[in-house]
Amino acid sequence: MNRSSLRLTVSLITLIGIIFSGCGGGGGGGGSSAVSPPSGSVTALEWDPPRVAADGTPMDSRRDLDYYEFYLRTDQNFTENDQPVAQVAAFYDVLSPNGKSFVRDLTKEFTLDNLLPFTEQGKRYYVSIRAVGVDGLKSGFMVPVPWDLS
Amino acid sequence: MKAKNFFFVGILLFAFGLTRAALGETRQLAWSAVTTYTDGSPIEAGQTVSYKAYWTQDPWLDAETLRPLVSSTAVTSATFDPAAEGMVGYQAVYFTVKTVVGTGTESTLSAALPWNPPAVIPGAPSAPADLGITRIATSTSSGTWQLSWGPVTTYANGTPIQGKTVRYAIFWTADAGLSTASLSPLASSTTQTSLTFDPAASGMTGGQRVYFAAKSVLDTGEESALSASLSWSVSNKGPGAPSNGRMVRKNKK
Repeated sequence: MNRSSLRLTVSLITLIGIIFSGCGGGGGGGGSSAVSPPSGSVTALEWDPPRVAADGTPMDSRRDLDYYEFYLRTDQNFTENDQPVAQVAAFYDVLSPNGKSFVRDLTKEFTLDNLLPFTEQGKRYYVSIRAVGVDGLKSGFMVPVPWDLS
Repeated sequence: MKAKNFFFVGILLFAFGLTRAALGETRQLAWSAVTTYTDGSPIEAGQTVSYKAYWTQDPWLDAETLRPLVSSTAVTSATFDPAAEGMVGYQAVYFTVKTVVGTGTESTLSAALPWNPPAVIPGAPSAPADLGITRIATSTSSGTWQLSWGPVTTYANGTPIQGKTVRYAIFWTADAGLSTASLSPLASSTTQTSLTFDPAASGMTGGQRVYFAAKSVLDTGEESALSASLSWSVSNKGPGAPSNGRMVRKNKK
């Protein structure tokens, strides 16, 4: 998959997550319908982008990373068989201070409320992410972070 | 005014020294200045002399077939683009010029000058774009990788390429500036829009920063500029894992 089409996929998946999270409150049966984050604030996951490749060689995150994959489990045992529930681009363009050009900034956070459609209230989840390079190679899983939905 | 007919010394056609990229297939038609009437007497001082140039596919210069190249000019040449004028490659055309003296007294047409227009060459093709790389096998120590790019279907000026074969030359280099001397070919001529390669067999070393770039080349010889490069760190392990994951509460924007 080339980079542009991949970004489109990333955007679509993220958009789907946002749409689903905005549909909460409609009846029972699990899912996100009962989850209502505190008004005025959201839960976000922050991380440090990788600076070296898995083999220890230096890496330029702005050039070598393409996107991140987000994984959810109710335990910490993430495996290669797990499927990501969301993807986000590894960088985004921001307007430079002079207002005449864009500079590339690394993605370092993600609003977890976008993943609420994949959760049930009252449970503890673990979130992990993987970095995916422009060549399609994936990193290992980040150390899982607990996410309590109470 | 003395006579009504004028004398042409000669008419010459030659290619003007401009590049295709600047002005396309520009040509220049030139002729000798008219200074005398047909009886050899000089045109009076103060009389204006102008010229009208025509072209036609009719070797007999039938008046109805004449198409103006220059409607009125005081200089003794006219620059034109054969394609823009509607001249078809390899189909002979004939040029002729007449002189206008003063308020409109015209000479007869000069003798026809035949010329075969060259085939139209729109210019260089577009450079390949959307270079991408993916690993397709792990059978060798450095793996087998596929480099791909988008097909080139238009010239750099945006017009479609028709009736020609587009080939691609693919290069890699460790020089971020993509200097010509540093480029090593991965494929010199392929009609495909992807190729597979083994980094080690191609001379790349693990952890090395390399850049891929491509050119498109038409079977008629025109070649594109070098594409934008794809930067890649030669690796068979992928990126390191993100770290220091933590939950934060943020105010809604």
